[in-house]
Amino acid sequence: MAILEQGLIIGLMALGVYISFRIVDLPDLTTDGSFALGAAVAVRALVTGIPAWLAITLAAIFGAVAGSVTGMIHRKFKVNVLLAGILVMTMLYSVNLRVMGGPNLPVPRVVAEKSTQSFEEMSGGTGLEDLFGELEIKTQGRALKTGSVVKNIFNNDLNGSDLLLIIFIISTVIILLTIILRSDPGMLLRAFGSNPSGIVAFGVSQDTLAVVGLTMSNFIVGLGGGLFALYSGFSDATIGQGMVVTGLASVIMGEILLGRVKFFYGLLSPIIGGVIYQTLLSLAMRYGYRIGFLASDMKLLTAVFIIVVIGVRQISTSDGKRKVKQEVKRLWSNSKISQ
Amino acid sequence: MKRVLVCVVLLLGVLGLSLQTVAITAIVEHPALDAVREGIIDVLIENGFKDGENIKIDFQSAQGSVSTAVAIAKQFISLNPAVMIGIATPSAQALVNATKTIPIVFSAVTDPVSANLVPSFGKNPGNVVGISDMTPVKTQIQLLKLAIPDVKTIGIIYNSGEANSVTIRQFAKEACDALGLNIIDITGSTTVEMIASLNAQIKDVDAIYIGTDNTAASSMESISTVALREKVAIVAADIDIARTGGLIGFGFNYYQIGRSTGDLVVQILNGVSPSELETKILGQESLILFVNTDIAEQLAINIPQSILDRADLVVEDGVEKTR
Repeated sequence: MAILEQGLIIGLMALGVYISFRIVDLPDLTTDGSFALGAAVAVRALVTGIPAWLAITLAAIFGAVAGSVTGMIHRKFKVNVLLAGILVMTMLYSVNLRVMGGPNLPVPRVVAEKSTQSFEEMSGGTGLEDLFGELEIKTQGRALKTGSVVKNIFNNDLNGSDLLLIIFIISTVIILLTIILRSDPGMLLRAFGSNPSGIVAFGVSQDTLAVVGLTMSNFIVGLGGGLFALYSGFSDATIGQGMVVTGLASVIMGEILLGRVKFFYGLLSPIIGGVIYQTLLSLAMRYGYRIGFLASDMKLLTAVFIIVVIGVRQISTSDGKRKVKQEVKRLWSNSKISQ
Repeated sequence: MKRVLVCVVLLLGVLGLSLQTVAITAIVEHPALDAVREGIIDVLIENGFKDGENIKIDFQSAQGSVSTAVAIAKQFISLNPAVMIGIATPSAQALVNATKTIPIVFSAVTDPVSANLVPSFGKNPGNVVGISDMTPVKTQIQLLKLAIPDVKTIGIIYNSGEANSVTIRQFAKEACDALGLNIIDITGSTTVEMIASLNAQIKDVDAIYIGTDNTAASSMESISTVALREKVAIVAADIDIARTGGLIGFGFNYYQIGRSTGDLVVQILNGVSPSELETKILGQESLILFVNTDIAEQLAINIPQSILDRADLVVEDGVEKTR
């Protein structure tokens, strides 16, 4: 159940990646940053006392702003979209630290008052006090930090309510997205992705479409980041690390499983892929250590997986398709014989 | 074919094994955190809990990634372990946020209250208890001032991306204010950034203070090279950091922190509820004072006899002696 919940949230983030990589065909690397931005904004909002629903909406909006900045840098300054994404992602690292006011911000639980005490205050001293003479520092009373009671939308008790909530949010996003992408402007966006120059004939600016596409993508990524932070209970400066690759892997896994499908089902592929990715990750961590596999190796495997899938597709669409098939068949029968 | 494979893999994931398990996770592997883990496991063995015999120890490192830490926590829950151990802040937070019922012991967390792990030190209702590695920052700054009386400006090297270091920096600032010392932040989120800002600011500082910062710990070779070249002394909160070119170190032995954590784990395995146990720091008897007289000589610093008398470890002519 926990794997399913977390996988669905990763899937939502992957849906954002699906929009940038597949629908508008712009490889956007802002994702790592906007995911963390969404997480930071959501938790910061909760700490400030903003209701959780509004907090995740804000997370999505801030993510969208980050995406639009990438889009503007890419189109207005004619910067390569990869570089533009990296620039924004790098900026966001600093921004996120500002938003969180530190490297790590927990979702406030039901807490009353608390204070951070120094070692000397708690232990009654270090036993070296007599050394210091006039250097002695009087410890003054520290102001108590007052926390407030904040209601998280997730209760983490695995009774299914979290799962329903996540499914509800994802369904809402997919329904809205389908409506938008089936409308006339949405059609233009999809057309832009498959044939950017063809769009000129419609008298629509490519710049606008690119910016809108990246904005939509990062809106969803930011939402995913916000949900992930509330679900995990904290936000951290490094929470977005490797999200582009994770998202891309989820998209690809979903596509493999679903195959060629109608547009609406295509939107579901990253969600399904996210769940599969999360399952594989937990399996790898659960059983993989027996063969010396570490959780940290997952990033390497993920990237290799993407390369292999792209490689296989490349071969299978080229003239070499038949030859490769024969070769595989030959190897397969050889291996049977040797057994 | 591929689809069938994926489906089989999915099914396997649903099937889980349930064993009497001690699940340990750390945010990253480095000497101090590894020492914590060794301490825990040694205490378990001494109390008759052996991996593979009557318990199963499952260790996962998040390799520095918070999202991996969360995934590890969620996956631990599915094992329904007898107790879960989180080493360092993000790993402990991930565990605490994943369950309200399975007992959790955290270790090497500097500020468990701010990290929302427990409402306060001492006994708390709930399923969480642990050992903090909060270090005596005030005393470390006092030692620095005592050893180098004419010090005016202290450079604090830390990664502002590490929550523990931000708390320690706050305490250091308060101590420096009280002693009339200026403070300069030398920060970097990576080893490379840290050395760059150190090179840029070293001329402005009379001494360097380093807390229990993980990034600084892994940059110590370069930091001490720069500091010794510029004849600037380093005082550290971690003995292992101080051993690499530091003048004075005053802090805990992480193996000891692990052993204290292990004591809590043993009690929980013996059926004691975490709410009966106290979240605490180690006592002053576990503190170690380290002085390197070779470095003092190199920097022409006269370490007061009063400090040398109290030192537990002294480096003299290249040899470390225990007092």
